Amino acid sequence: MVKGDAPGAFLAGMAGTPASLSGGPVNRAALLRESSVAVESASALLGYYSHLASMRACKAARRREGPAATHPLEAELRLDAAKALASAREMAGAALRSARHLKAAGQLDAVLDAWQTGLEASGSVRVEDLWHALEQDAAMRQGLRERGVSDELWAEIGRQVGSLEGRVFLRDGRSAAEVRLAGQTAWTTAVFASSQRGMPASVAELLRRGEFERLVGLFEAGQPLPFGAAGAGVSLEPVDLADLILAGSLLSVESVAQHKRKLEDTGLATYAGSEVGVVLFIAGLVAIAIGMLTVGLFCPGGEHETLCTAGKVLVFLGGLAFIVAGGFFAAGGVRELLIISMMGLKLDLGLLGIKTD
Amino acid sequence: MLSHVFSDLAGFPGSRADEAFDPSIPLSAIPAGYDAILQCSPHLLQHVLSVNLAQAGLAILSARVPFHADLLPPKLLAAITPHLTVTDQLLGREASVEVIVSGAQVLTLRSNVEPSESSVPPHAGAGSTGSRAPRPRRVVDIGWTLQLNLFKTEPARPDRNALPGDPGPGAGSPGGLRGGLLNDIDLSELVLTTGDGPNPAPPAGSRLALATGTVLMHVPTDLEAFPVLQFWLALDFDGVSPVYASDDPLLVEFLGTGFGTGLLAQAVAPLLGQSVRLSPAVALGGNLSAAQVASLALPPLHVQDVVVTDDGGEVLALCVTLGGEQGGVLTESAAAPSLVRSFLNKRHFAWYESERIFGPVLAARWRANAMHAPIVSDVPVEMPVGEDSEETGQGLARIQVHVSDALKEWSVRPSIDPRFGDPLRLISEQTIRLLRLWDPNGHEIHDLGELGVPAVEPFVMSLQMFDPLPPGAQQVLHPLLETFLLALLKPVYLPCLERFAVKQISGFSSSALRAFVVRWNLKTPRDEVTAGLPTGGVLANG
Repeated sequence: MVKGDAPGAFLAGMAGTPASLSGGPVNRAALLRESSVAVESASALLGYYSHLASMRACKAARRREGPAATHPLEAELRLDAAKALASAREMAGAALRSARHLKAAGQLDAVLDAWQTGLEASGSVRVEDLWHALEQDAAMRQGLRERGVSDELWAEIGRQVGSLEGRVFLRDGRSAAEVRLAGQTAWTTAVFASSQRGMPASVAELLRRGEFERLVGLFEAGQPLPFGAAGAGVSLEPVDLADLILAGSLLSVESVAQHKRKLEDTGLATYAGSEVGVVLFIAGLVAIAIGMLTVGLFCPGGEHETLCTAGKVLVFLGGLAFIVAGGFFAAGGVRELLIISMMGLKLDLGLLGIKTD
Repeated sequence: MLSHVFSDLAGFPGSRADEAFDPSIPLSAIPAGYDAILQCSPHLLQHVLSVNLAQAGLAILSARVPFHADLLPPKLLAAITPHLTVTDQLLGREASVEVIVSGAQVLTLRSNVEPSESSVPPHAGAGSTGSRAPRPRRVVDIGWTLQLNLFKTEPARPDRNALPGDPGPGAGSPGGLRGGLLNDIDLSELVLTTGDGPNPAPPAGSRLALATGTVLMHVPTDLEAFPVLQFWLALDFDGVSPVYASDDPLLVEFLGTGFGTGLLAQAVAPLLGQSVRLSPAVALGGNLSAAQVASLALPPLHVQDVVVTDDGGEVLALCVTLGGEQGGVLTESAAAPSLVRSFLNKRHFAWYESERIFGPVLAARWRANAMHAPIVSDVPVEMPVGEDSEETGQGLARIQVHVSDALKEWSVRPSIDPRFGDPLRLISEQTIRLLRLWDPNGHEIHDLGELGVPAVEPFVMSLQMFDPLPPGAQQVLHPLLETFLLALLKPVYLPCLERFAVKQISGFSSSALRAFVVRWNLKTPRDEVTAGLPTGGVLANG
């Protein structure tokens, strides 16, 4: 899977990273189950967005016939959008559960360590080359195919994640990326950090620790989240990989929710607008989901080095897709996600239940 | 006080399933190019008019002239004479001819006029009084009840607290009565259930209704707008010519005399020249001062009124735009119907407000109601069980939070859970200081080191504006935050200066429209009794 010197050195460096020693065992059956949910949901979602594109064209074509001409179609589409939102929630839930499990098992930190080791070996690497290397990895493609990742889904991931451009490099000893979608003018930069260990270094760090697990638990339990879904997450500050997955997962769901709400409240637009970002989110999420599955299945034990490395790259590219997709939505930092619970003020259940008498 | 409203909201959830998807009220019809639209049902307009007339002492207009037989037209004299008794003279009861004009009713808002418009730059000086309508003004037909009475003063008697409705001596006295009843005026309708104004009462005495008729007034309106983001539609009674009518020959004869017209002119004189609010007094920024509004540097405020109809009758819509001369399409002609449609949904009040208005207003109110006192709270934290341990457990941190007085961002975000409405997200800053820390074993860590350095972090709130609490859940907010939020958000739910007793507040937020829709009903006296609550307004600005 080597393509060019830098990516080759990077991938070789990653492959040489020792397996995680700090975490617990990986539940492969659970990961397979979650991956299956994620893949199925992603296929449904991408199918919906494909249908949506044809609906837009249909509406545009019938515009002269008046609004009534497309009302039945839009009513049907609203039902489909509700299903799409449910799929997005399932997909995000699967990704988040997988991330929580892999984080507890030390595998997410191992992924980050591997990136860093790879970059130390290679120097800066082009993002486009990383995807190209994955595309040519027949073993990985076959392994994913056997686990339900259809050629159509893989092609869609390729269309989205493959359209990222930029570079991965080290900044102050940490993995960093400068990335954009092909055709965009602005670059987005992110610096990655391992999950916190030892005594927190600041009060903010102290208060933020453990929030990932708590928020995933809230999402799983179907409770309103205290931040009302994330603002778009583009932060120059070091970002924990688990936090990025959390932000990206929730923003993926929010982007589908936003589309659904527009359908309900203002009708189907005849242009796609920010849906470019939605599809990128979905592709990023499914890339991370199957990347984490690959990591979970093949990294522990160190027996399938190539597949393990490919999984780490896929997780990384999925993370970059999140970062770029975030730029299509409201501004705000990933860090916003984790703030509101700091004071123990449980606003998440809604303001309207206040009773003073 | 506002908590009553919020708890009421909890009882009447604003479900999008009920609100947004009513096929008769497509959401796309609501904004029609405006930044805010207020809609009032006929019932609410009637209520506002009655209250404002009563507060101005204009709900009951009356005039009396002492009985002089030679002044009265023949039929009136004939009707009165049998009721003037020797007993009255012995008791010192003085008889008068009285006219009472009362029971103002809004008959119709629809007139063949263009919608009126008023505009004022919000950042204009505080002393600015707004501008009058440049186009022909709307004319509202107001109907009144006219009563011609024989009025007798009460003799001195021990019970001075008799109700005006007390028939008193002479009640039910036989003989040639027209109308036949005393005190036909239903005063109960005029008892205020909201507001602080006086409760006008006619002079004490006994009344014999001799004849009844009607008074019709074609009253022009003014759309008043003020620099503090306040506006309303007011009836301008200046120069109004009442039209009196009756089927009763006695009253017909009376109206044809100089005596009659003079007495009526005297009765309605206090009203003529007055301006009386017909619509609620809309205050987009709540009780923000002129200086606070000016600091927003908003574009000029334009308000237009239009009347639309729904199943409940005529609906007054006050449509607001910031900046542009005119937002949506406002006509009342059948050929080109207005894009504004009723979204009252069988309520008395409906309010659409876009982010262009509520965003700056919330920012100003955030600053005006800033939490200057810090919030101190104990929160669980995850931390190592020992100094060099990889194992973590749950410790406890006592933190002090100072919330900034600047609101940096506001937006309605799409809800990621279809069971809930779209949350309002507000972003400010907070300065967090760790005061004390206990490790997972309960031991206090006295040397906080770097942890003791205050941190400035985003302060993010995500508020479900219209969702009820899940069953069994109980919301507990820090008192400081609760007070702050209530002050912050009140104009979103109740953008009025008046004190209304309201019920069944509902609504929804839309991230797609970037707006809120709020609806509510007025409480009725029966609601008050049922709830065991004191009568009077439950809401107060300020």
